[in-house]
Amino acid sequence: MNLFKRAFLYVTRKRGKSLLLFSIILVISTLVLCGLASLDAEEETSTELRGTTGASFTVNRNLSTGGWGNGNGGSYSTQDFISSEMVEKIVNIDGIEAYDTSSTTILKFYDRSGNYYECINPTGYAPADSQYYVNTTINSQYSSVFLSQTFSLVEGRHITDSDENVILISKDLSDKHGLKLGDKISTVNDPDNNDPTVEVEIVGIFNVNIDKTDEKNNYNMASYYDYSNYAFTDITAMEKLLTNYKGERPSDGYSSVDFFVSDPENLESIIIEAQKINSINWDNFTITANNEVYERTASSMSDMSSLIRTLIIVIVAISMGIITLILSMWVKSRVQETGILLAAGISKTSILLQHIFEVGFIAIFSFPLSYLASKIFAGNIGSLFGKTADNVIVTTQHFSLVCGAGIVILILAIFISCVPTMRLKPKEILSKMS
Amino acid sequence: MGILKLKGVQYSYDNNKKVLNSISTQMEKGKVYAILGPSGCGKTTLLSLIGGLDEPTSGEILCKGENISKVGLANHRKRNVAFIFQSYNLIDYMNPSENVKLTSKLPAFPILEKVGLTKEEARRNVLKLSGGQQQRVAIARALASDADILLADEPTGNLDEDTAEGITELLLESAHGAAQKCVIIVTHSNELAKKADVLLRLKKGALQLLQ
Amino acid sequence: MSLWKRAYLHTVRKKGKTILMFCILLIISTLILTCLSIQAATDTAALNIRKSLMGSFTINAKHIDMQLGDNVVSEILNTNGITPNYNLRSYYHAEYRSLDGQTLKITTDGAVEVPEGYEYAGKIVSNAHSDVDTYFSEAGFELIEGHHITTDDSNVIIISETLASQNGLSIGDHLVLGAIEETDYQVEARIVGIFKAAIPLEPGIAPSYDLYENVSFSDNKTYSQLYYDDGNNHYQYGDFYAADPADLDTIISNVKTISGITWDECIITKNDVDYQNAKTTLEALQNLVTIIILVVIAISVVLLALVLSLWIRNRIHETGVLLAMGFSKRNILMQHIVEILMIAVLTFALSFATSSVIAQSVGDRLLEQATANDQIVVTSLTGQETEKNTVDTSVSLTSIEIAVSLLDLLLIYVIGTGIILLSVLLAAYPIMRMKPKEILIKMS
Repeated sequence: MNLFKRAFLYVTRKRGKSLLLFSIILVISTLVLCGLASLDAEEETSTELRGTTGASFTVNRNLSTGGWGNGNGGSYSTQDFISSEMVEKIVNIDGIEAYDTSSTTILKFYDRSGNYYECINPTGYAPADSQYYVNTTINSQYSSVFLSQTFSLVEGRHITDSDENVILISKDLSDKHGLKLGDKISTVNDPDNNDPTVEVEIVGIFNVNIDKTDEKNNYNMASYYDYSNYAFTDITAMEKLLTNYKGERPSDGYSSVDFFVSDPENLESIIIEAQKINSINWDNFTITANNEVYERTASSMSDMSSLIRTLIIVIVAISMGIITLILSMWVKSRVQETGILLAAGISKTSILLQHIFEVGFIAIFSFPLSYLASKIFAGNIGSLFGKTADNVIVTTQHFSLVCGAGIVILILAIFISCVPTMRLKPKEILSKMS
Repeated sequence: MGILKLKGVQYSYDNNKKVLNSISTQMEKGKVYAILGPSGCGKTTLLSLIGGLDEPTSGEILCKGENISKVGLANHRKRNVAFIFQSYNLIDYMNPSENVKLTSKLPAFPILEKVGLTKEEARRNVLKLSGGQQQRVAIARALASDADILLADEPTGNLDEDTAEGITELLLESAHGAAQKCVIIVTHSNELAKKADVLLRLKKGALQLLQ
Repeated sequence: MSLWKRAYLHTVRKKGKTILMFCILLIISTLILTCLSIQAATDTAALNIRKSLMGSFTINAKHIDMQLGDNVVSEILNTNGITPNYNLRSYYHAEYRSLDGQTLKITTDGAVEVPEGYEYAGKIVSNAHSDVDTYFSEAGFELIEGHHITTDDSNVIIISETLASQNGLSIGDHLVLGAIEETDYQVEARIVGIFKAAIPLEPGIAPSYDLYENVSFSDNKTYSQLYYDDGNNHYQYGDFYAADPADLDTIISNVKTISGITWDECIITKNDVDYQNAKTTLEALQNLVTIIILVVIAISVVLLALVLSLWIRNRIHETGVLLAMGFSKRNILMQHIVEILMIAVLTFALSFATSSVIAQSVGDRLLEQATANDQIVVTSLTGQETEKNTVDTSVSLTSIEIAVSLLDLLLIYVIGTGIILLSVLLAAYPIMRMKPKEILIKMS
């Protein structure tokens, strides 16, 4: 009878013991698979955590390296503006999530019949009461007031770079005039200057969260406008509204653009990438990194990440140790049988291989099952704790790793366990038997 | 005076085949009873019932006048009976002396000596004793306990003639000697049967008195 | 023979099995202890993350008669979870006068209007710490001479360089502030600092008193003296910081129980955006750790039970013999439990040492990584220092220690014993369910 047959007979006849071994291999490989998946999950979540700190960099015109001109309102800088081509080039860098610009214009709002919409907290002076503090934006979601939760969107959606002629207004304003999403407002800059009127559609309504009465915010011009009289509109609309104002239109360029990165760890390298872009004359522009939240939290976040990863690795390593131990137990319990086989003239190598194949037969079933079990396990745990382990996913990569390493470990374990028995002379084994 | 009384004891496996059919009998101290019968006829089952390892389907078993079910089977096994199996009688991580002291507080050596073990053997690992020596230890344990009833299931089944004889002598001695045990032996062995005081045969579920 | 003696004999005589069980138990308890110590460390790391993300709240008491007073403020600062960092501020207007009562000159160019009664007045901001005022942190004001106002100062003022030069004032000089709304008190103040506005205000928008040149900073006592005559300090706004932003809501509700102020009339605003952004993800990571540990414990139980069932099945003969002798099933079960517990007592104690060693090396690794990270300083690649000021929040982080505590050890004894009991019961269950006669059958 060859060793394969002996192995097969053992596994099929000693069902109890085989089942036990099967269960143990199943449990341990499931544990290891879950561990590997958790490592990936940890990485993803940690990256996400870093991302919540909202790192960005701002490109500004470098006024100190530019010239000065004289105009109506006093002196002004003749420095280059940031062109949309320039923005395009920077946005293409890997790791940049979004960008936005900020510039403001005072616009008047009118309805279809030409009556102006009275602002919140009107003063009674008509020309002022139809004025609103409007931000031109490319991705309103990334505007600083939304990022800092000074405002939050309560209806509709944010403005994105594909929008044309849209507007976001405050809840107070929409309530005051019974405006809804989809309604249209006529906007104009200075009607006395024959500026064109642009009709914009309301796509979003925001709430003002902060304490409007707290005077600490009253440090600049913006504060002269009640937050409820703020609004956001897109580039296209503003372009038309400022047709008559060469040098102030969006097409003339931006004076400041913010670029947001998905992983603050990469901020520095992304900025360096940007500065390498030859077609941009960086002498005329400055870059400011905005990552203080990340800076404050970086070391703690990396601590946390290291700890979790170490935990997982420790567990996986120890599991390997346990399986080795258990296999040695399993082999030791077969001393008698080994004695009989040796006495029958079967070689030690043959017996060793027999054990390896026995475990192999069992492992062939345990491993695939552990793959399924770990998938279910990981998935269910996720739902237990909310969205936690949405990303605890067991992949085929993990599986092949476990199979590969598993086989090596199993063989090694059997080898180690067989050694003491194998070293005995047949007659010693026989005496151990009776 | 009967220490053991069976009244209408019946036993069926899973309510099908009736193995024991209304057995009534009485057994006394100081006597050796041998139960013969073909294999699989229920001898071991009868022994199990007497020993309180199982309960009859119907009927009563009284020991010292009390129904053993009422006494509690575990209690009955503890106080009234001692088993000697064909093999695997001893706890493998205890030496003979400790095996004897499993159920008794009496000093083990004298008893072990009585069954023919030396002091050295009494402290040896039980796995290193021969089959006969192991059975002697089992008997010693049974003797050391307070149990009045000794139940032996094929006690010499694994042993050679000479050794078997020695064991048989011990069993007889425990009944006829000072201890006056009630010894009930289930056996195939005709030699042993010849030496018993009462010969019973279990056939088709009924207990017949031979001789 | 008592079950204790039987258990002892088995443990001592079956050395191979005992040693194996010892190893398995040692590994399991070391694993669990290490997990617990790492979990404690991750909790500290998470706390540090929360601390770094910061959380504060502002009390707007401007419209209450007596506003915020020192009593309420000190009770707030005594509330659990509040850090000693805080700011108290008020905003008002006052006329600038010289010591002999003459009005001083203010800037009017660029103002949209000079309101009546305010021809010589400016906006004054009083702060407990002027260095954190939004004018300095957001509007681009820079202190060019002197020092910022702190809680040690009383009756002091910081003025613009324009106001200083227009009126021939310098550090150390005194001027008089005269209240022009509600009261007509006046207070003498000593100039301790001079600022300049680096970024100009857009012309034609602000009334004269809001022009940067006419803005000044005073201490809180000065404000109180100008508007109240009770000799107490009054504050319009208070900014307080929580040590852990996760406690912010609790802290605020505790603060609201402080008597002496009608909380209904105040506006309390939370500032914890950074924490709120990170909260879900941070909790996800912490949950991950909890899950991992629960899984480890669960699997330990399963594993132990499997191993034990292998063993207990092998002792079926012994079980049969003992049952035949009249030992109860409970008695035999207890023997198995005692056997393992005897080993466990030693194992658990030893695992304290083994897990401490692992914890130590994990801690060392962490330290290595930390110092490596420190060297990768994220530089801001620009000239301008936007000093986003953070109210002396030298965020004091708790140092992460990965150590096994005695409490953990106690926990292990408790959890471990529980696991063992559970495992033995699970493993022995099939055997124990058998009737003695079944065991007998298995034996022969």
